[in-house]
Amino acid sequence: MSKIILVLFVLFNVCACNQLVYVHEGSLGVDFHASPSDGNARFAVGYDRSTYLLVPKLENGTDAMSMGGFSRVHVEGIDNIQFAHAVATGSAAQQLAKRPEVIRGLVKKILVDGAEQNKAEPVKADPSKGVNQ
Amino acid sequence: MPTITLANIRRPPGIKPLSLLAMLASLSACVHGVLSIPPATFTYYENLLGTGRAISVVSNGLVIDTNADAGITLGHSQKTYFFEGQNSHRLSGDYFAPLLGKTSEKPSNEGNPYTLRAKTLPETEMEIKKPVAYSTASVGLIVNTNQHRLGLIVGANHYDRLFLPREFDGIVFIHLENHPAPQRIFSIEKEVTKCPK
Repeated sequence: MSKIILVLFVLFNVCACNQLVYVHEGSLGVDFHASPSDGNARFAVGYDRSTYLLVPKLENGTDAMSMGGFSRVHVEGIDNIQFAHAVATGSAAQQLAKRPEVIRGLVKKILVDGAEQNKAEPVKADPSKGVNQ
Repeated sequence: MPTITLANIRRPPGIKPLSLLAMLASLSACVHGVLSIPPATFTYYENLLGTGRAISVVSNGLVIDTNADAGITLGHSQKTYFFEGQNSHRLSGDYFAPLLGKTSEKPSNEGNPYTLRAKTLPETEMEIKKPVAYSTASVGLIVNTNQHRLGLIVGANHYDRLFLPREFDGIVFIHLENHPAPQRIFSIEKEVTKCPK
């Protein structure tokens, strides 16, 4: 057990994140794992849920990329999970920062319009194409 | 009464190793880095604008996945990988004009153009290669062996991940729902003039 903890400690400290990462995860049961690319570890018994965002940084501590966006996670138990995320980087992020009306429009387009369409036109499963359609 | 010896235990009478392998091979399928017993169901999705694609893999049984969410699952597994579309590369300019152009209008008959819709595509033409995001839902025994997750889960697990390289310059949005019906909205557009470092 001590060797496992030592390995996780090393992974946690030596691994650096060089990507923009957004994660939402939830588990019911026993969850024991590490994330070498993100530099974190997790041990949960029972129900656990987490959401996190990682932004890469330069050696001097400043952000390595411009970014802007919004996210929404709606969870009802373990079965009904709605995950929504929008992120803009670089020149798109600079445009987003200068135009707050764009954020409102994106929220409506991605979250509201999408949800309304899903309720109005539920996707019907086609047995010939599997469960997902 | 036959004598029980070590040789008998290693090779039970009536079942030859080759026969057993042939039986397993007939029940399994290996497509695009996914070995599953019984065979998994692959479905291809694409949005109307061609700025986003997805491939879903649904399996019940034993699954060995060697893609971005590599690992072994014994139970039910449902994974969706999201990729760039053929129109995901664009020139710099106003990224948001196309997105906001129809905000004030009534939805068209085709609905949200960013919604991923299933399309018929031969499994041999599907490629699970360099996804931008993936969403997984699994129940059972899950052993993850990839750089994003390394460990063990016993029970039910839901995992959504969006990851972009540091040099990415563009916009990505994703919206996943499973109630009242499964729906996926996904799009990625990025600068075509900027070369990744």
